Amino acid sequence: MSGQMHILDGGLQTSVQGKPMAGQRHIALPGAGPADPISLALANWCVGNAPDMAGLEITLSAVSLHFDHPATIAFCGAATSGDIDGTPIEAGQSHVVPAGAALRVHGARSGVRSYIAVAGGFGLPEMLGGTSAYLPAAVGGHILRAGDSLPLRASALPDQRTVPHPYRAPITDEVALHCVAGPELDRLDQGQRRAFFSEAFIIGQRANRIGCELSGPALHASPGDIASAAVFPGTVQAPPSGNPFLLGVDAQTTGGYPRIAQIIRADRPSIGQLRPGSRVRFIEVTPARAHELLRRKLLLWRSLMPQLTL
Amino acid sequence: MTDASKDTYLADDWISTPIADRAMRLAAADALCRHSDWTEVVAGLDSLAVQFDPERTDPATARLLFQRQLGGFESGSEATAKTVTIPVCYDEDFGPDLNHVADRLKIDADDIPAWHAAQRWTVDMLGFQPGFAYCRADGDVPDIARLDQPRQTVPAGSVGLLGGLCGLYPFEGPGGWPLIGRTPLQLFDPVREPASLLAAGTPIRFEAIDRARFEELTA
Repeated sequence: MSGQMHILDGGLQTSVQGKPMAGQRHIALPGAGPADPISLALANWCVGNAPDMAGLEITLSAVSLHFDHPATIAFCGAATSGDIDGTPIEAGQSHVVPAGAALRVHGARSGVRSYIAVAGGFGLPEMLGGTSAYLPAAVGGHILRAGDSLPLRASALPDQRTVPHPYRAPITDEVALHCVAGPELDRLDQGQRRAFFSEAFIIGQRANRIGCELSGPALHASPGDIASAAVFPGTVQAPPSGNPFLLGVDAQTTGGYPRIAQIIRADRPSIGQLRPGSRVRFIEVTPARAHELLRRKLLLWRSLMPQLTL
Repeated sequence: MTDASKDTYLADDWISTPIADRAMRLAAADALCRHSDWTEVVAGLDSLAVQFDPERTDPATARLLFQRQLGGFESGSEATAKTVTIPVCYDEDFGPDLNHVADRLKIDADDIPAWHAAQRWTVDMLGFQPGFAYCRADGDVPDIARLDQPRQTVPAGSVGLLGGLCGLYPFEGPGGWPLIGRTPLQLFDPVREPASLLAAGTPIRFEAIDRARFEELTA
């Protein structure tokens, strides 16, 4: 069975995200990819896809889609409910959408992003080592709006699946993020460093796939800028405004603000669920400890999804 | 060789070290791109960073590998990359800041194309947008500040100048560099190999073209 999926309402920001583009940062192209790859992997698990098969990343608000062939779908992440032609459905399990039916995924009450996976995935080519859209330059795809369609790959209808309870971690708006010290952490004075690691920061209105602005104790690095140097998803910068900026999956590859912290790889998926008003605390760990935390997180998730990588 | 041990920064999946010598930095960046130990290589203006897969390499081992590999690079090696010629149209429509820039360089606005062509430029790094090249002039050029109010929309192909640093915008988007012209070349094309026309270390020559030629090349 194959066919087309049509966007009836793309909501705030919908795009195709799967495998991040790889090995392109030397030409200033970030990997993009799902802001919360664990939620994408769970949605894919429900429909029998590989964890990094491209799905739809949707943002905060409701979206509606129309399928011209029957399709097995699932959604996971911030949204908890949806409906098929008005019949309520839940997140974290597979559902069959009949040909001609409309699927709606409702808005998120906490968290930001949800992922809709379709059994078999989309018939879209790989580009630059990935299957993800880098939205700031529309490389590999663009924001999907009403009227856009995506080709679906043929797939047998898989068995019905529900994410087992131990793997249903609720997404909350109060998050502790482990980080290692950034290269320029020593440009904060001792009091500011202590404040960064002890007080809560609130996510501001500027929050998207590029990054989010944090408000809390003002942090003024001295000296206040650096010669442009590498940054990565999860880098925390200290711009002159005093409000730290936490970089996301679409952030540029270099920056000129002091880098005060680096969120560890194991915790980066949580960045994708931070919404304006979310409270964040930063916990400092060593690179060796970060390595151990990643190992443990993968061990847990791979008991359900053996192919998951983060 | 570089002493990467003292100032080397280690995160849980990336490493960075200062390398002030441009030739050495770019030679190392080029070589490390081909090492399977590194998933990403990023040259900064005075530093070099690599990212590794923490499932294959633990942070301490990655740091040792990085230091060992950097140990082999000498300063003073010359760029061997082929010079790329960039045609630029310096029409007033494309270079809204020509007069401002001419003022800062203390030359006549009409002489900017000749001045720009006479400098020897090399790509120092890529950043900001996919394929956005920061090109450095060899000579001593007075600094020019970014615009007080960045433009909401800078067209693709725009050529910006901060004195001795020249930036080429592959994509339309916001931007704060004073603009002197526009190139008809496609600086970034994801389905082309290589996707980015320019790489760190590429020597650049600018060549003035008129509006008719620009339209011809973009047609």
